Amino acid sequence: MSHAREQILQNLRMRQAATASSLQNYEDAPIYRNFESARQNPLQFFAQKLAALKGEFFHAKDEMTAAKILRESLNNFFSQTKIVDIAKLAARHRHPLLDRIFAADDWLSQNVPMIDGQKISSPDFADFMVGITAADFLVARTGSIVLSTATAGGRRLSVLPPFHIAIATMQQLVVSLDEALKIYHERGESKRSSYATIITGPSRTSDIEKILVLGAHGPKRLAVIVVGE
Amino acid sequence: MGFFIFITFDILFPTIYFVLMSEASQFLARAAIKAGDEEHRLKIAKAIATYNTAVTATKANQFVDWQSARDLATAIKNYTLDHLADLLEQFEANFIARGGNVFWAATATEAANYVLQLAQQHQAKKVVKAKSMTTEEIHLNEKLEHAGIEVRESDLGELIVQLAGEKPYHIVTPAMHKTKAEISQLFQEKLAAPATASAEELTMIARRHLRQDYVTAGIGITGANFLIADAGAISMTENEGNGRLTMSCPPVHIVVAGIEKIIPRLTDLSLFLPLLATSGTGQEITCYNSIVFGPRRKDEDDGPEEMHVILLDNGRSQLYNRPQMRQVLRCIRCGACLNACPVFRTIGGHTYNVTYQGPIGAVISPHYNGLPQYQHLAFASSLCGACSDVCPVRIDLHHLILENRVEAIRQAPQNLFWRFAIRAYAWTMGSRRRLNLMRSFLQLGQPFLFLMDKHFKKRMPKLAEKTFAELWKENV
Repeated sequence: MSHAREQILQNLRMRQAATASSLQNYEDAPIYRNFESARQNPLQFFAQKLAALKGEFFHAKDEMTAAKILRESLNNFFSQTKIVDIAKLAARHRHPLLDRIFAADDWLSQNVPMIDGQKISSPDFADFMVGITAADFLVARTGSIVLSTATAGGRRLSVLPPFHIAIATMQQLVVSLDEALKIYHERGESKRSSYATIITGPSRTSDIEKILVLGAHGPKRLAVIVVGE
Repeated sequence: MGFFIFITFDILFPTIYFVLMSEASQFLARAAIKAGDEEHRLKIAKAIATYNTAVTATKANQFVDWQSARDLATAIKNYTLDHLADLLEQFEANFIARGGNVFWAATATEAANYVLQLAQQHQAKKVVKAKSMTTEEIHLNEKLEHAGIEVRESDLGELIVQLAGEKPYHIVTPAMHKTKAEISQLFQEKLAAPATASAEELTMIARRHLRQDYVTAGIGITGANFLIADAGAISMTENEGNGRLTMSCPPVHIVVAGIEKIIPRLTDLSLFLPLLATSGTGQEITCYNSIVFGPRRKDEDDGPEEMHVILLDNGRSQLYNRPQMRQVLRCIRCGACLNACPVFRTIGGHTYNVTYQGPIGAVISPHYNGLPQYQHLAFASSLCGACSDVCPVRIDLHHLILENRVEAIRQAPQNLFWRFAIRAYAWTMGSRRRLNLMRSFLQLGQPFLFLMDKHFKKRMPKLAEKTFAELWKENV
């Protein structure tokens, strides 16, 4: 290929160590002080972490309850913003878990459209105020949500709207990040999206005098609903 | 007449002097001004105190043992450096297989030209950028703006320095040197925003200002914190969400990354993300850590149609081939060494006049920018070792600074005065008798020592009444 490529690689091979240094395998367990607490009660630990990060946590024992929580959450949000006509302000994507939850509640299925990201341009997308997505994993130790393009309806739905609601099941909850990354990597090429992101709390910045401000460019509010027992 | 003198002595001469002065003497001039600027010192002291509190707590709360976490990260980075060429090729093969493009750039100019070429090819009128020091290193903004392409910095700190017409003050906290009042003033002037004393309102002004740019820009440009060999992916760390928007909305995504950013495995992120966040800002993990495996797949809802990763050498492979210096390529750009450095805290980031400030900058800048011009940075250190103590990947920064110093001295033209002075010093210190004689000599000069006060900008110390040897004899 290019001349620069050959040149750089040649420079790097000139003195490449002939050592037999091997790559260490390691796990999160002995590294992180809070690993053990997260392992003992992952859901509780996740809830605490998320709350400390100013995210909102909800636990629903089944899909019916999840639908109720989602509806209340949306109503609260819109009553705060004093917007009456909410018909096109919240959006969700196609996903089996979301489909089941929306099927359980008429109000939701009437008021929250299911969108096809392929058909919506970015400027139009920017009008949505709430993005409702599924997720790949919840990570208890750090209070993080891991999501990827395939499970979260693309890259934009979880970042453009000012309020992001992520919904996941109990089975998706893992203790630490190494577990989530390992499973994701082992999924294999065809099942891996082009994009994944680890979300830990609502968007924030401390660029001005180190003062913490929520809602810099990403969602100002973040809610997680965990479904199942 | 008075006006003529004013023009000559206050404007003309200083200007000529400044132009003729070398980078090194300009550095000293800037440093002298900043060191005496009390307001600047207070601002930086306050920001770094906040940082220190958070970092100390997070190291203790998150890690069983911070020192062993550093050891582990160092070992993984050492393995990476031992196999750098292979891992880069592995990254390249995996990334290309997924439809991504890889461009190898030997120099900063090659990298910047490639981005410009892509922008012109796509007829982009506007690019939106997430924070990236590597793009600063290749002077990308100047290159694009010169060609008539609008560049929008989207990180809050970067936006502030861009609007102010400045360079980033600090590799992690670009606007560390600005107060709320100064930023409000700036936003009033440049964005016609209302005056405010609230950091939250200032952040919202920036949010509203940039909102449309993400969805209208033709190209999104980011850096990468890690290049992941086994996944053929890039990882980007941030808090604000501007990075996520930059790689989600525009139709083309360009990544500019140094070749040392490689880590071997996707799972290594479970160590490096918390490590970087802890050292960088004192968070356990930052708000967003995105992993991009390639451009949008056909079955996916959205994402850029095209993705390019530029692998930048720009002096790195030269550093790689010097056995003492190779370890500096372990750097993950957390900025901890800047915050720990007493020289950085005194003279401030802009005084360095390079992309990478502080101890890490003193080590790598001469090798990235052409040796002779920035060798003086190796002397902007007390060699106290605070930088090496905090480095999460255990780079022996202060010894590498010393290494650069040795090189600078070897290459500098011989200075006869210094050679004589150092020999005279060694000769004097070589015997007790001569040392005592020296003291008697200095005591004679003591009454006139105050004449030096002005030159050294401090009160010259008094010689002790008695020497240590005399006190020892009396008291022991």
